Amino acid sequence: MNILQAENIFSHFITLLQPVHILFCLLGAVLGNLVGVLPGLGPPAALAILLPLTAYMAPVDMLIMMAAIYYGAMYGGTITSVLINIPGEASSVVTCIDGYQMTKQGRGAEALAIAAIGSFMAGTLSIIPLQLFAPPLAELALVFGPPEYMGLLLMSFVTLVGFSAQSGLIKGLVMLVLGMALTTIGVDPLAGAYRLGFGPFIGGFDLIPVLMGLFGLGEVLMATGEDVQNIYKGKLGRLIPPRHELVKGLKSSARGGVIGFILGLLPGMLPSVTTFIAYDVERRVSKYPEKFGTGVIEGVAAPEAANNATAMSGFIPLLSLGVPTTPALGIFFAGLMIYGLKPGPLLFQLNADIVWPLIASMYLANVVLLILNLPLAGIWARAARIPYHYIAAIVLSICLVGAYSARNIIWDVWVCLAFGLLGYALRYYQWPIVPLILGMILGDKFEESLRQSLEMSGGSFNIFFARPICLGFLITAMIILLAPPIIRKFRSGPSGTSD
Amino acid sequence: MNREHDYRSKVVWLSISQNMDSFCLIAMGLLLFVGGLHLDFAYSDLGFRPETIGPGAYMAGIGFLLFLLSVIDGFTRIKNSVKKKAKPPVATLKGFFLLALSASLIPLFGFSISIALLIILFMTWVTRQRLLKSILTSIIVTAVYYVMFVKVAGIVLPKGIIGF
Repeated sequence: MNILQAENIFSHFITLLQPVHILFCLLGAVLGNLVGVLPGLGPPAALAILLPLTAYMAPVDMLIMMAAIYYGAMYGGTITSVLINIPGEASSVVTCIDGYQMTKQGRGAEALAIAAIGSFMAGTLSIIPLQLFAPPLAELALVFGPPEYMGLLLMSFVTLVGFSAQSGLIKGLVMLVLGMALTTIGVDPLAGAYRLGFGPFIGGFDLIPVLMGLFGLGEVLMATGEDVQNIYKGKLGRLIPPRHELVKGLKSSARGGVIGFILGLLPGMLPSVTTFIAYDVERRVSKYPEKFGTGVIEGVAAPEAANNATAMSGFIPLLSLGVPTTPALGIFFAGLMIYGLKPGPLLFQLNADIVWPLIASMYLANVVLLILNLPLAGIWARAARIPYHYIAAIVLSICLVGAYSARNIIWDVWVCLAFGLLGYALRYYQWPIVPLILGMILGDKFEESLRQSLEMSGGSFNIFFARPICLGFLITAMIILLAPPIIRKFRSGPSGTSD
Repeated sequence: MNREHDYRSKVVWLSISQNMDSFCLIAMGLLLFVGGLHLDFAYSDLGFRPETIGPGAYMAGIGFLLFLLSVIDGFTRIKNSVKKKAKPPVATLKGFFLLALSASLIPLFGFSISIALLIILFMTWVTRQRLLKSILTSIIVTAVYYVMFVKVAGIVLPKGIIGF
């Protein structure tokens, strides 16, 4: 950090610590949290809904509040994921896997607490590169083209191996391909051609109703059939995890944060994708990978940290190059434009008095969210003891409303029901659900990258091997896939016994 | 002879019902494969070069992959002889029915009334709770989500003939 930047951030911290700025930060965090808790309404919806509130504010106040809304909404989605297995948005899907299991063991408060602490840690640490290296990092991200994205996506697909451990690799692959197949319905992303685009299918399937159906409705119907009385009946666990668990959680948060930050620099890299990768990396480095999915703290800490870090690093291309990398940042971009602030290379020079307070406010927003959510985690966790028929009623109604709120069309309610039926059927026939979600999240991007790459190369697949970054991803994917069984075989030795 | 025929019919039905998922996936894969090929021919006048992947070809490729993997999974099952599954519980089927009914009523009665009815019927008919408790729960839940989604979030929910 050069002296000029240090002086800037320090002086703007002082400016920020005025009561009115702290108030806007707190208000934004609370509102963002409230909206983010509602399934179907994630950071983009929260920003879009609350943007008019900022219309009459000074630019600095507006940016502070919008940033706080953004982070608040991101944490809000975690609460429903952990407590009732409904991901608030796509980036909370992975948190459901271990988070809900922890709730069923009476450790919901621990899960929410480590999510808050991990998010705070990753988010705060990610701001440091933002303030120091924003322009060169943004330039680096522009090196990524369609072949590099293909390599990255193929590496992401390797993560599905971990999600299919119990059900089998073939089943995982079938679900992944099914998810990708479902994304082909609707409009082709490159040529705009209609594929099975008749009647209501013309718009394809939005991810929110799919998530509501698969997770929310599917889970409720399964539990109803099993006559579940409570999610958890016994004595609730502590708020702060035991020391050894906390240390594990913090280490996972650090790893997840690094992964989320680096991948979040890439335009088009959604937090949902980085959470999958962070979870899989965590599972692979763990001494007990077989316990993932049964309620391990690392399974919550890593994706939540990755989620927040991706959100932070997304500001780098936005502020440095004027490239919003996610829909939520697109709305942020619109907010900047409203005030005549043009994101790009000159923003730091021409509007330093606005940008630096924004960066300083990110630190403050992270602290506010931690202070706000940590005590509430224990209160939220008590929801696990509510009789299940109340939970089921709430979940069913919220799923239908959440599904409708995605695009404001009744068709999405029917999509939610259909995927609820599918979610139940998948559980009944013991198919893994997470690879299906992974396929639906990545399907469009995969097709776009593949077809664009082949257009660039004139149809030759050599392009994926000729570009060093892409080749690096492919080699990494092979290493990730092949290394664990080779290492296990090596450790067991020629006699077949372990050391 | 008749007993043998009945036995074979039951075995076939049991096999189909126990492996309905595989059949559905295989059928979907075939549908996408055929649909993609048809689309590729239909859009051939858009000028896609034969060496690149057009929208139809991609869809056909994904469909074929789905078909192939589903068949492999099916053979794996035959080899591993998967255990027989119990029928879905009645409560689950009731739940689905109520959800479908509620969604059908939305255009007529609006979101709020339909969801309220869903909660009342679900709690009384499926989870066998008392009517008064169900009605109170329904009113509270409907009121809360109405405030959160409509008033706070500004989502415009469909209103039915009552206008609410």
